[in-house]
Amino acid sequence: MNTTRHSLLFRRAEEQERLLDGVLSWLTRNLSRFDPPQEDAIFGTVPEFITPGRSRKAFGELGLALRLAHRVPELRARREVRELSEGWLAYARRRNIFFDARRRVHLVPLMAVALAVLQTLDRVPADAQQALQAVLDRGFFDRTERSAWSQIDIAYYLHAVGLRHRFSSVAELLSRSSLVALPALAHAQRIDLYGATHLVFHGTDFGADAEALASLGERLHDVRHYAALALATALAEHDWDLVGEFLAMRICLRERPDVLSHHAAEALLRAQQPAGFIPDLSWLRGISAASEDERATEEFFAVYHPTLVALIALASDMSVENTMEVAA
Amino acid sequence: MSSAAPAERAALWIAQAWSERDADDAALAVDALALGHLCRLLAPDAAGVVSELEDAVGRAVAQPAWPAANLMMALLAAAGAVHEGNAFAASAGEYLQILGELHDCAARGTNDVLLRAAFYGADDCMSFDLRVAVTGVHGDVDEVRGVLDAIEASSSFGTAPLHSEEPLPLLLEGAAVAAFRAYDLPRGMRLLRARSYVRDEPSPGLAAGLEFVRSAQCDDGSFGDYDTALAQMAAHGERNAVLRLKTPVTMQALWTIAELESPSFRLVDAALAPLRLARC
Repeated sequence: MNTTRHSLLFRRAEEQERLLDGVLSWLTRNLSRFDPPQEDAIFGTVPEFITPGRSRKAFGELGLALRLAHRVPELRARREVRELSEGWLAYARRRNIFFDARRRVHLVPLMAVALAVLQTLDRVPADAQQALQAVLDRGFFDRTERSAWSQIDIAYYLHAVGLRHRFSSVAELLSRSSLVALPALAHAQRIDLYGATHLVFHGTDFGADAEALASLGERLHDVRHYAALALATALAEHDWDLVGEFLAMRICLRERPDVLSHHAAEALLRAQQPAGFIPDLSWLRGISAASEDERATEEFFAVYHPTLVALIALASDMSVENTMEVAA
Repeated sequence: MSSAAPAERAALWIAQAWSERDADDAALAVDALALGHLCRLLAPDAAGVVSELEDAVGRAVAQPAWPAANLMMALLAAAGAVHEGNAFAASAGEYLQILGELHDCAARGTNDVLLRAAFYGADDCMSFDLRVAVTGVHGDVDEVRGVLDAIEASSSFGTAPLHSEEPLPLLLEGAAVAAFRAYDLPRGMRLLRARSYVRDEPSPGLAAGLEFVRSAQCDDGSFGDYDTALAQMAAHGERNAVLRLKTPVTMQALWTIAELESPSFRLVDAALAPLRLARC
């Protein structure tokens, strides 16, 4: 039997399994906290002024992670992934997440994510798709000033569900992004670092589109070095959210397995808490809250993202690993 | 050597800053003399300015408080005094004699290794296998300090070859960048030097770190943007705040730039050579 592993993250399958078990267990136990607002019961705010907020973002990001998990047969077959997917779909229907889509313009990016998730987990609802297309056809959404990062993020999901838009091609947007002139790491803000990771995630379809990397040309070498140094920096800062992001970025950049990624993944595994979640910086500093309920809520919003990022890294790794095995 | 220009500017700064001190301070005198010696070594054109600085220090302080200073600073200042044969040469000699008597040649602590390298030179330094837990680089403050102590001691501050394993060099670069992001310049620069001791090869991380250090030089020639900290120290009535805060940082910055620009330059070799000659 061929036991060669191509995983960028772990040398041993049992380490991958431990991280995955903990992450899926915590997500399953906390599924109810991803429940988004009841969209057709919000009456006090003008629709155009409704903004995503942390609850809708958490729901959208869970969907995004599940969409990637479904690319991997072993993950798709897991009980926890089925439960999470069924739960996500149930919330989407019950909360009527595409309600008033033609006027809730600030929610359109998250709605595009949700459509892409539905495309993978179930089917794209035609009325929601038409509503978003109507917004796009008004000639403002894809014509306002946005960073290349923001444009690639949105265009990726619009493209995934077949919506017409006027954003430039991925190659063009990448050529105008911070990836061609990366911000000095010693001075860069955290948001700049998320910009770099997201450009690569969406620019490469989470590592599935290896050809997209070619559009970076000679810059690809610099981007890979940057990701490696940024990963080492995030490790030193105990910033486990960014550790996960840069691990996933290196996978999407099709780095070969190396000692740095193995070392970082093992550190991430050691940082994983007994409950299964991955802590973020605010959790490590200590969360203050007036009550136990409030504490549980704040803890959830502090740690769900690094935990989902770990799942995204695992799914990307297992997906790319499969591709490499097929190629081999 | 491209560390000459920043060293020349730093010499002008320390001379000016000393002239503007709030009070005479024998311990600060050691730091000023140490920085002066390093500036003269890196920028021969600064010799005149440094000589004037030494005269000014001599007029203010009868005898530098050698033991009160950081050991590296004291050795640098003493080396400068011995080399120049200036007014401090005699007291520097006495201080070095005491250090020599106390020094245990067999000891392996960082300061012991520093003294050994200073007194006997790199040729007498042995190569050690580095025995550190790589995870210590991203551990707590004490763990990081332990790793740095081990690297400096095992490599005799970069003068002896060192065998280390991946991914230690990149982790050190990352830790240096993290320190710079927290504006902890001494820790970041020490991490960068340690990185060059474990692997004497250029890398994007080393280049990024060097660029950060270079860009930390202020218009007056000192290193470090500490306006807020200095204002706070002034508000608390602390005296000689500029010299106390910036002299060690400026010395470390020049040390780091010189070693990273030219791996053949090692401070304990180049700057402390007069101590070895004095003991021959």
